Amino acid sequence: MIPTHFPWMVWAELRKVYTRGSGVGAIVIAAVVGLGAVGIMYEAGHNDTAQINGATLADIVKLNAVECSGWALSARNFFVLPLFLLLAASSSVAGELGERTLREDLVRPIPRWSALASRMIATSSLAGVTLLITGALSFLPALLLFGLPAADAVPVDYPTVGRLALGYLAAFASDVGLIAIAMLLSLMVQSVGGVVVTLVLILMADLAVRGVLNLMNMASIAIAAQLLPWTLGNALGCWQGWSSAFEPMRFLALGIVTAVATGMAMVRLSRMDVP
Amino acid sequence: MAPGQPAPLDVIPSALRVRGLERRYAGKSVVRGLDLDVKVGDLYGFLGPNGAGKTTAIRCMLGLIRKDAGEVEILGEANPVRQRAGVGSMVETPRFHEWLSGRANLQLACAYAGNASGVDEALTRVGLSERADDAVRGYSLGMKQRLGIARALVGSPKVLILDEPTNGLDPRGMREIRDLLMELVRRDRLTVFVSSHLLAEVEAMCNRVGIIDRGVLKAEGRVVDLLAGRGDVTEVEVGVSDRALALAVIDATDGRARIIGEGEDGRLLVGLTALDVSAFNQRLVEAGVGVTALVPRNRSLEDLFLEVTSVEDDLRRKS
Repeated sequence: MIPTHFPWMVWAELRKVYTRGSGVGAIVIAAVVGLGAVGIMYEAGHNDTAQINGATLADIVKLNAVECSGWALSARNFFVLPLFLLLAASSSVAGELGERTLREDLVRPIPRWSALASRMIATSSLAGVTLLITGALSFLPALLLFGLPAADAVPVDYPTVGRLALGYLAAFASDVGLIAIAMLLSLMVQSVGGVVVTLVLILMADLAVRGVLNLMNMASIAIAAQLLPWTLGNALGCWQGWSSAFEPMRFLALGIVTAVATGMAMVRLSRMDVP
Repeated sequence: MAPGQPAPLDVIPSALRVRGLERRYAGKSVVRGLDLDVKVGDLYGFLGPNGAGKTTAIRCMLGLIRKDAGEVEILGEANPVRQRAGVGSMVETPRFHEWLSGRANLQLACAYAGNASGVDEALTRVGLSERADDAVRGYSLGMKQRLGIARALVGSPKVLILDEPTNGLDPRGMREIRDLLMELVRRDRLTVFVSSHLLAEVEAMCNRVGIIDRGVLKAEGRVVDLLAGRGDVTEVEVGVSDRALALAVIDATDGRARIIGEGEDGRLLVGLTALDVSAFNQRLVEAGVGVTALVPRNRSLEDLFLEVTSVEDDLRRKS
């Protein structure tokens, strides 16, 4: 049963998440990425000297708010910000297990799963806030500077504002999945560093599996194409569909990963001895 | 019951009742069949040598670690979640979110306790009001210990379970915490269960004690009863020239003389039952043991502790 004071527990976790170094760092980086994307797009869009395959950067880069905010989303999801979210999630579970502060929560009249749920909600809110910051700080200035893509000047399948927004929403779902995995690993390895190393190893193994599946796919082995969306990296990368098209299977895989990781983490915490 | 007489223990309801508590690590029993009965209004001292299983037992009671067998009831409630509503606790060295202030840490504890009251009062009671808004990372060990007790007090608990609450405190701080705990029992009608290895502290403040050794409860009861309870036992400190020979003489008394601890200057502490001091002295001398001292003793909690814990075995091993 949910404790009646569960909202206060979430409030307590929010207070911790947004005052920890990982939380503050994530917000700063989200802002830097958002504003940085506008600056870099502006520079690239006005660069007539640098060339790629004979075309200048100014010709290649499409200066509009959707493109700019989409690139900001890609930059945000490339390594650094997920790492900060990973640190925030593992600090609130593995870090607190190691520092013996989690036990102070668990000696209170609450079911153990609720302590994990409050931490998931608080860390997920950090993911949401960083996405809002990156999105707002990249889209709004770019809207003023470059405007929206002209409907008659772009291909039919060119990303719209709506698809960009869905991309941000998908990135949030992907972050929640990452947080759930981090919390499960936190309860298994019980150290922040251990969580990061373990997840990196898992993602490297996943990369290898994807490489093999891609080779099989190129060799026209039918099952490879069916399996690819179900790999962890592809599930977590479901947001990438903002620029082309979303793949429903990736979302389904992400949902399963998130639900299984969350459920396993809650069962694990309910049964484990807390130091 | 005559006015001024304490109520019989069996009519006072239990604040904390433990039955048959068992906990094993890697097949080895750390707590074995532990039974405890802490009555409402007790200031109960939970004593035991290092590694006796005190902290393990406390962690089982608080639901931090799984118990292999047994039952724990707190204020008559057996449900592990609901029973913690009436409990404030401090296990081992208290830990905090160091970058936050002392006050913020207590507010976080309130959020989990589901009761936002009592932060300022708890800070005042442990003497931390003036430093309440400083980051905990700047606190001394003693201040953290006080803050730990303050955290146990938030949420209006009825029962406090404290594991070594005076660890790291100087003598003045220990005295203050002792006074605070006694006041909590007297003025606020709390029940306090406190584990400690500081026997003089426990003797000075607790009305009841339980002594655990190697996971087994060796003695439990009112301090006054335990110290006075063996009226037929005379305790003497005996200085001897040949320890091994003396132990053999003691063994030959069929239990009328028993090693119950170690006295000063390496003397043996012997409990005599149905054997007077002069007769015991005579037995030693006849066996060729040189008796260098024979001093009757008053029992203290320390004596009781040494008697019921493993000290006798250790003494025999040394001999």
